Amino acid sequence: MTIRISLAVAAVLLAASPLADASQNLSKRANVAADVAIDVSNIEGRVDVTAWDRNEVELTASLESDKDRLEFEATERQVRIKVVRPDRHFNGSDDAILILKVPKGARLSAETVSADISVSGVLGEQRLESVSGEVRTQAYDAPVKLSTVSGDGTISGTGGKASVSVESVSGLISAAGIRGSYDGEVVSGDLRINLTAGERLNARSISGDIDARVELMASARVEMETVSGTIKMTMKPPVNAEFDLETFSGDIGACFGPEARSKNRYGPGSELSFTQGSGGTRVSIQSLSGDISICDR
Amino acid sequence: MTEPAKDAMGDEAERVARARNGDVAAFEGLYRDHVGRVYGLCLRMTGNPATAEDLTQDTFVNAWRSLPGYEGRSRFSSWLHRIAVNAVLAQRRAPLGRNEVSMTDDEGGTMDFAADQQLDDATPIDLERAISALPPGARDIMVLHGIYGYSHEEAAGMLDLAVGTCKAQLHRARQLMRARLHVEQHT
Amino acid sequence: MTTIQFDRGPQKDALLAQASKLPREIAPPRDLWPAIRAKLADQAQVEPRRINWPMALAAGFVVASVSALLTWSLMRDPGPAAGDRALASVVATQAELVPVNYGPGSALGAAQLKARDDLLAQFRQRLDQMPPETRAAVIKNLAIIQRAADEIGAALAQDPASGLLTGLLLSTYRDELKIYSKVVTAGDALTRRT
Repeated sequence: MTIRISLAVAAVLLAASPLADASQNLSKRANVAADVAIDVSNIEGRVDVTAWDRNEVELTASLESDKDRLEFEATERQVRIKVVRPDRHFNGSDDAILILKVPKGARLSAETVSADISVSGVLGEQRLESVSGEVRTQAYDAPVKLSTVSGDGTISGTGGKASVSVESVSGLISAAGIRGSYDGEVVSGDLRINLTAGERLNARSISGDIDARVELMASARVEMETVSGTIKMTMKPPVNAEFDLETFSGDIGACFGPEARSKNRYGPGSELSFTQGSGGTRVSIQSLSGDISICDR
Repeated sequence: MTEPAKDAMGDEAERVARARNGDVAAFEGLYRDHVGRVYGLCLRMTGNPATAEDLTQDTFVNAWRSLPGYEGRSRFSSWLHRIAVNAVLAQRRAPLGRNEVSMTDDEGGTMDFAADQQLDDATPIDLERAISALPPGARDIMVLHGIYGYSHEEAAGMLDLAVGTCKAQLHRARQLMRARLHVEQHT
Repeated sequence: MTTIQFDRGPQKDALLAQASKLPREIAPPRDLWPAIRAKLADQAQVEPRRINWPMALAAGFVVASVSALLTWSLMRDPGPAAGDRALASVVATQAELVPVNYGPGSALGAAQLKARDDLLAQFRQRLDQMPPETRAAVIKNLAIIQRAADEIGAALAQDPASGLLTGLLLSTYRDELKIYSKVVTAGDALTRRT
């Protein structure tokens, strides 16, 4: 993220000097705008972000290594926090713990390598990325984007209408109580989705499984796709939807509607297209060899 | 559906086998045997002779590429027609594709057919005109099912649609054609 | 469930009967074979079989996305300083990493290959900086994508016109690129200069 430090703005630039001791305990504070943009990055350890009712950012940091350096740059509109490792290499042993308090309306961007990320009460837009750390946050009305390579992720809905987007290579990504829209992509990781008042649900995996429990709006659109992973969707009744299910060589099972039929003469696949109830919602699910099941209980 | 009844069936299998091994002359033989049907299919589905020519070429080029995967489980003509239908559908989806001019509303809006014919016994030309005036979805199934004799299941497979959708489109096609042909009779 | 009844009166059958009598063969106005033959020859010179146009079109989108991502990444990170080049050279362990092979029926075009190669070069450099379990996960998941591509390729050989299979193959290609780009951008947390 581009950092602009305007001379017109009384910028606070506090670069902490490394201490000679083995560990460093530091604290920083800055007055900021209610919707300040916060950009934090860490390598190993933890990033905990909690929202409070003050237009202030407060950082308490504990760095195990005396070689790591903490950068803290703040203007009214933007705060940047970064743990800098001179050799720029992950070593798996030197944790840096960043405890951060931010205004409720803050917009948050966090990146880590193996550090876990935990966010609570942040109403603004969130972009949270970790390679192997676990990421936990809450979704309000603003968009939330969560991304990992091998780390797990959890997003908890709070009743707001959020746009949630998750990506992982091999992590288990859970999203519960989400209203609004959901986009999820994994390779071998699994997606667990609990969507209420859902307007859009897109989920895709290669070999990971997708388990979606959904309560959909009348005009909702659902698209899910796997190569070999299974797709299970449980819909809250009454179900009013048009279904278009297709698998090249997997099985299709449904608690309602007609039975699937053989797709064509080329292989063992099957397909199932039908309208349940009054329609409205459109559901499209496809797989190569993964099984597909839909149910309303 | 009926296939070209010739001793050529044996010849065809041999030509296919040779073409699979890269024999262009054998593939030309297959082209000569099938081009009329493929072009007819493309022409009727698009309503545009130039587009139909392009799609016919695409169909045979794609067939040449795909021949290594053809295992003879379906008739060669059916397999080829499937590729042709896919080419037509892909062309329709192309954002900058060779768009045909349709005189119809694909969403099934009101169509105003002039009372230009009084026909109880439609001539082939009248029928062709009525088919070409259909919206694409209805026209596709009328061409595949009505003219080329594919079953609903086969046509649905080619068009990547549900069988029920194909039946509904055929129902609609017949209604629209009857309106055009002024064959307003009992249903 | 909604059910539509399709009654079939005698008049409707008569209409279909008339349609079925239309000639199935219509000769094109000119001989198309010379043009087809030329295309087959071109194809043989370039590559034996290529992915069809929807794939190429969509892959173009992916290429554009990846190019944008690379540009963004480079803007964020001017590159390793002289003292960091030693780190950049520690790339040996991924030497055995090879891009996913999508099979003879889906050869990637030059633009796709270039986009992937560019990304792959950065990916190899950054992968060494990742935690060991992440490196293992990445390598394992590339193998999963390769398996998926193989399965889809085998299915495409049975049904070359399948839109489902073409779409899935494209998805695997996108996923491969996404793995590379994830590692590249994740590495920014370690390498970005301030």
